[in-house]
Amino acid sequence: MDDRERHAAGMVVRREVLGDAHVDRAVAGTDEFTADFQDLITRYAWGEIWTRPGLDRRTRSCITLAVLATLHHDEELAMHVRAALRNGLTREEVQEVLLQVSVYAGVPAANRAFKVAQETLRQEDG
Amino acid sequence: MTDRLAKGKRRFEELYGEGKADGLIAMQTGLAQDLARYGIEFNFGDVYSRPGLTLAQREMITLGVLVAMGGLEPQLRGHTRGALRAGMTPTEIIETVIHTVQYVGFPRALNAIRVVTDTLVENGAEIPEPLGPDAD
Repeated sequence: MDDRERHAAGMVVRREVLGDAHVDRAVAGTDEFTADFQDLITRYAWGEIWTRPGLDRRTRSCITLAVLATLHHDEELAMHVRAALRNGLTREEVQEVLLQVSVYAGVPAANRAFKVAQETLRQEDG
Repeated sequence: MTDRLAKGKRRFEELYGEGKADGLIAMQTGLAQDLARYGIEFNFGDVYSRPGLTLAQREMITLGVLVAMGGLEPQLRGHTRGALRAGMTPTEIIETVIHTVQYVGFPRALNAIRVVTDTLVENGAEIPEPLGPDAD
């Protein structure tokens, strides 16, 4: 697979996981300064890692939520809570992942993550 | 013994074998044993005993958190063994670490995957071949 095909494959997965609305905004917001970065993450994160066999997308969402909550990456966590629901995770499963973060990464990380996820789930409810 | 401690010991020993919960506490000295006991009570009596996720899913999430924090080799070794006991395959365990690289960066993911793979080999697991650059 060459770089263009990898980018195209990555874009398909990226859209399926993050949703067209989000990706359309990211694409529309891309300029000369961010274009190479957008291309890199589409090929690397989405075209390589997320497309690997061996773990299904629900599983990848579980790991992603745990990692982002641990690292206090609030904005990315909100995006991936939406993605997790799209990948078929239930709210209860999101809750379980964050509960587990509380005992391994500490209460502050989980506290933050619960606030972000709660807010995101409320928005999803409209 | 509190119910939670008893429940935590049962859950812990499902993963690590009989007598291992007391062993974990005995690794600490005197007053410090309270911290290890909390680990059994809260991590395993509370969180790991909840329904909603399988034991294998819980081990996978813990591995993700440990890789993200970095520098936790003893815990990575322990939870890799736990992941095997919970029924995760070597592929699933290694792929869990590979998945984290985009979020934690290469240094932490590479250090972790060395520890995880060594632990798998020490426990008799066979490591699958790389997919290589033309996997798909």
